[in-house]
Amino acid sequence: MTMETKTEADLHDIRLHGRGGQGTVSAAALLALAAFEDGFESQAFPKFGSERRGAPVEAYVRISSSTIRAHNQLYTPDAVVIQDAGLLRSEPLLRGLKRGGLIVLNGEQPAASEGDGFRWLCLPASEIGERHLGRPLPNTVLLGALAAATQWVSLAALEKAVTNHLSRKGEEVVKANIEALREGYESPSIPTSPPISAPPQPRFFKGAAGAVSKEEQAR
Amino acid sequence: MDKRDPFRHNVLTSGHRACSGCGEAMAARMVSDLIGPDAIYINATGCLQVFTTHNQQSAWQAPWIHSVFANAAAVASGIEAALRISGKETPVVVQAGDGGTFDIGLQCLSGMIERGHDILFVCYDNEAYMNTGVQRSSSTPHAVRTSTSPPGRLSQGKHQLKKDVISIMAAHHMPYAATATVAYFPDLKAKVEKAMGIKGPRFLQVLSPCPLGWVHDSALSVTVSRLAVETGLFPLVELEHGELTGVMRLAEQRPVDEYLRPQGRFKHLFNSKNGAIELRHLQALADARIRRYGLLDAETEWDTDRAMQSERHGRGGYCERRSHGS
Amino acid sequence: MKQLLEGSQAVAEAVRLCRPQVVAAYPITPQTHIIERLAQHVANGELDAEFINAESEFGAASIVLGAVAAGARAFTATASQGLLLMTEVLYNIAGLRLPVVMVCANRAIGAPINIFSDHQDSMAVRDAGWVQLYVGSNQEAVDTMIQAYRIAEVCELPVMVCMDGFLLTHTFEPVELPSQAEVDGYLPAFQFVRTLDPARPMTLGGASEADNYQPYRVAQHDAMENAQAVIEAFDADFETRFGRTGGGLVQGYRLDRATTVVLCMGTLMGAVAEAVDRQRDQGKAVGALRLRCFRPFPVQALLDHLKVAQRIIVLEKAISIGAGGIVAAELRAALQQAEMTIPVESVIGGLGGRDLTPAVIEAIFQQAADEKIDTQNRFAPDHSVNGEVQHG
Repeated sequence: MTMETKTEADLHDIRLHGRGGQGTVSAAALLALAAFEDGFESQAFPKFGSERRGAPVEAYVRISSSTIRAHNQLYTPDAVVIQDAGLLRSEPLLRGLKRGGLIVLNGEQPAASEGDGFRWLCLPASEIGERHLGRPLPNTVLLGALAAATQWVSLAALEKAVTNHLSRKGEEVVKANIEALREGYESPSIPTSPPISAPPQPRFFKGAAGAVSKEEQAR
Repeated sequence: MDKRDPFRHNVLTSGHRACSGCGEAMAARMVSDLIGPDAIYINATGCLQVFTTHNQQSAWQAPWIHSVFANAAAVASGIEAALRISGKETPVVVQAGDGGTFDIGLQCLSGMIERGHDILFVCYDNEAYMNTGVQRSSSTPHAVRTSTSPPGRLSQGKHQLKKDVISIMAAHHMPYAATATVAYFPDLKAKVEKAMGIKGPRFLQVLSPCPLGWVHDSALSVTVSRLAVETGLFPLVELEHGELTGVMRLAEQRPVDEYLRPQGRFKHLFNSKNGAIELRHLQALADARIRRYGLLDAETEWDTDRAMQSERHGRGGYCERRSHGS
Repeated sequence: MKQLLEGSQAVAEAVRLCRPQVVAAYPITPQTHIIERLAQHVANGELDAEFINAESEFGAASIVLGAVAAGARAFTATASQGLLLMTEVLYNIAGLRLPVVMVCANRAIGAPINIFSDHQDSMAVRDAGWVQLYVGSNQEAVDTMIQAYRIAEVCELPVMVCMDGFLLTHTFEPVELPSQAEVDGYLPAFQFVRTLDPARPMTLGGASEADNYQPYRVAQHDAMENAQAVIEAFDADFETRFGRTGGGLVQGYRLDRATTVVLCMGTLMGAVAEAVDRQRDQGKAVGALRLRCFRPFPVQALLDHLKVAQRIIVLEKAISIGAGGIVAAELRAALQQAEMTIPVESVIGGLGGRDLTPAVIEAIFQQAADEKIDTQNRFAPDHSVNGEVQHG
C-alpha cells in the first residue's frame, strides 16, 4: 500500500469566530460545502470541545485544490470572520492571521486597527440578517462578503450550499438566507482592489456524467 | 418447532451438577418446563450457569446463552430486538440469581424493563452469593451469617435488611411482577403461565433455598421455603402496573422461630442476649410484611412499622434508632 | 458522487448501507453524532432496525452481543470511558466469536477527564480479541465500516473501527458514499450458523475447566492471525469494486530509499506525510508508514515495509504507563524475532488532544538524526516548539 505524494499549495485557511447560537459552525460547513461545489477539496471543523450557548465559538475551514491530508489544528489563517465585534475585546481573534490577511467583521472597524497590516471588511451583518431572516443572524451575510472579497468560492456555490444545507428547515428559510447571502456579497464595503490571492485552480469538475476520474476518486 | 411433549423433554435435563436439595435447580426445572423448549434462555453467571454447563457439556435442551454476570437482561434485550425485527415471537427468558438481579444486574434489568422489552426475567433468590461460597448480597436477610457478614463480638450477622426488590420492580409500573417459591408448585405454575400470557417485561422472584448456604438438611428445601411463606417473611404477591393485584393469604401465622431454627445461618441468634434482640426484630419484620400485604385477618404480635426503619447495624437491633446528636 | 460530510455522519451513512438490524446506543462525546444520525434514520424509516437506547455502554455492548447471537447484524459505537465500561463484554463477545462491529471514536481516558482524541481507549482493550482498524480520513471510515462487517462475519471475529474523535468525527470532509446496490454486492446478507434458535438448540457460553479453556483461546488467536489475509483480500476486492483502498494492513508514504521511517496510526499520518515532504525537500531520506490494522498485529507486512530502514521512529498517541510505547514495544519484539537489528525509537505524543503538527514531527526527525531520542521513551514536544507557532 502506498499513499501518493502531495503538495499543499493553494491552501486557504479561514477561521470563523462567533458566539454559541450564531451559526458559526454552520457557516464553516457552508463555506466548505460551497468550495466543494466549486470543485475544490475542503474541510471544516469546529474548535473541539463542549458547546455552550452564548460562549465564544470558533470554527475552521481549509480550501485546497488538492486532497487535504491535515487533521491537526489550524494556526495561521488567511482570513478571519468575526460574527460578534464584542469578542474583539476579550478574545485574541487575530492571532496567527497572516500579514495582509482579511478580516470580515460584523460591525464597525475598530479605530485602533489603522495600519495594522490587515485588510478589514466591515459591514452591519446582524442588521442585514435581521432584515432578511427576522433574526439578527450574521453568518450568511458575512459568507457572502467573504466570497466577494476573496473569490475563493463562488456566489452560486454558496447559494447551492445554503439550499442543500438548510433544505430541512423549509423553503422560506432557504430563500431568506440566500437573500442575506446576496446582500453580503454585494455589500458596498467590499474593497475594489484585486482579490487577496489568486483563487486555486480546481483539480476536478463534477459534471453530470460523473466527470471525476478514477484517479481522483482513488485519492 | 419442537413437537415433543415438554414434560417428557425437560428443558433442564438430568445429570447436571447441582448440590443435593438445590432449590434453584428445582425452581429452574419447574419454570423452564412450564415455558418449554421453544424459547431462548439467557443466564447470568451463577450457580445455575455453572452446574448446568460444564466442559462442553450442557443440561439445556433449549437454546441457551450465558455472557457475563451483570448483563443477562441486556443480552436478552438484544436477543428480543433481533427476534422482533425478524418477525419471530420466540419467548425470551432470563434466569439469574439474586446477585445477578438485586446487585450487579440491577442496572441492566432496570433498563430492560424501562424500554419495555418482551422478556420474562426470573430471579432464583437464594439470598446470598452461593456460587462463590456464601457471601452476603443485598438480598440476604437481616442477621444472617454469611462468610462476609459473620457474627462476632460486634455483629449479629448481616446488619442491613433484605432489599425489597419486588417493590423496585413494581415501581417501574411493569405489566407483571410476582413472587413465588418452590414449595407452592400450583402457585408458581399459575404465575409462570400468567406471565407467559402477558406481553412486555415481566419479573418473577422465586425463593430458592440453598442447603449449603442456609445450612439446612438437603431434604428440607421445600419445607423451609414453605415456612418462609407461612411465617410472613416471604409474602407471595402479584403486582400489575405497580398495583398489588394478588396475595397468598395465610390461614394462620407461624412464628419466625420455626423458619429460623432449621437453618444454620441463623444459629448464632439462639444462644445470646443480642441474638434474642435480632430474633425479635425478625419477628417484627415478618409482622410488618403481613400487615403491608394484608396476609392475615388476625392482629400481629408487633404492630409497629419501625421494624423496617430501625437501626440496622446489628448491634442495637429492633426499635433503637441511631441518635444523631451524640 | 462525493458529499461533504461530518465524520460521524459519514460513518453513520456507511452503517446504514450495511443494513444493521439492531443498533444499541449510549451517548458519549465524541461518538454521539453517529448514534444520533442513526436514530434519525430509524425514525424516518430510512433504516429498518431496532434502535435500542441502552442504560450504559456496558448494556449497549451486551445488547449487540445478544442481537448477533440471535442472528441479527448489529452496531454500536462508543469512546473512552464508555469503551472501558464495555471491557468485560468486549472480551466476552470475542470469546463467543460473535461478529459484532463497533466504532470507537478514539478519546483520552480520565483522570483528568478529557474529551479529546488519543488512542488510549482502544489500546487499553487491545488484548480483548477484537480486530482493530485505525482509519485516517472520513472516506476511510466509510470504507472500513463496510469492510468491517464482511471481515467480522467471515472470520467470526468482532471488529472495532477506530476513528479519531473530533479530528474525524466532528470534521466535514468530502466523502464518496457508495450506493446501496454496490454495498449489497460487496457485503452479503448476514448468515450466522451458531444462532440461538429453538429448532436447533445450542448452548453458548458454558463453563470450561482448566483442561478445556486454552484451546478456545488458541482458536481465537489462530482466527485473528488468519484474519490478516482476509483483511487484505477484502480490501483488494473493495478496491476492485469501488476504485479505492481502505488502507490494507499498513500504508506506506515515500518509503523509497527512506532510511528513517515514522510509524504511526490514524489521522496522524496527515501531519506525518507533510513533515516527510518537508524533510524530503531538504534532501533527507525519510518516509512514513501507517499501521491501519493494529490487531491482528501484521508482523510480516511491517517487516516488508521496514526492512530497508536504518531507523524507525514509532510515534503513538497512547502509553502503557510504566512501560512506554505500546506499538514500539511490539515492533521491537517483531524485529528481534526476525533477527533484524533496526533501532526503534519510541515517541509518545498527542495525548488528550495535544496537537501533533508537521513542525513537531520535523523536530522529532531532527532529534532522531541527532541521536537525541533515548532508547528509553520520549514524549513529543509541544506544537509551539522553538517558541514558534507552526502552520498546520
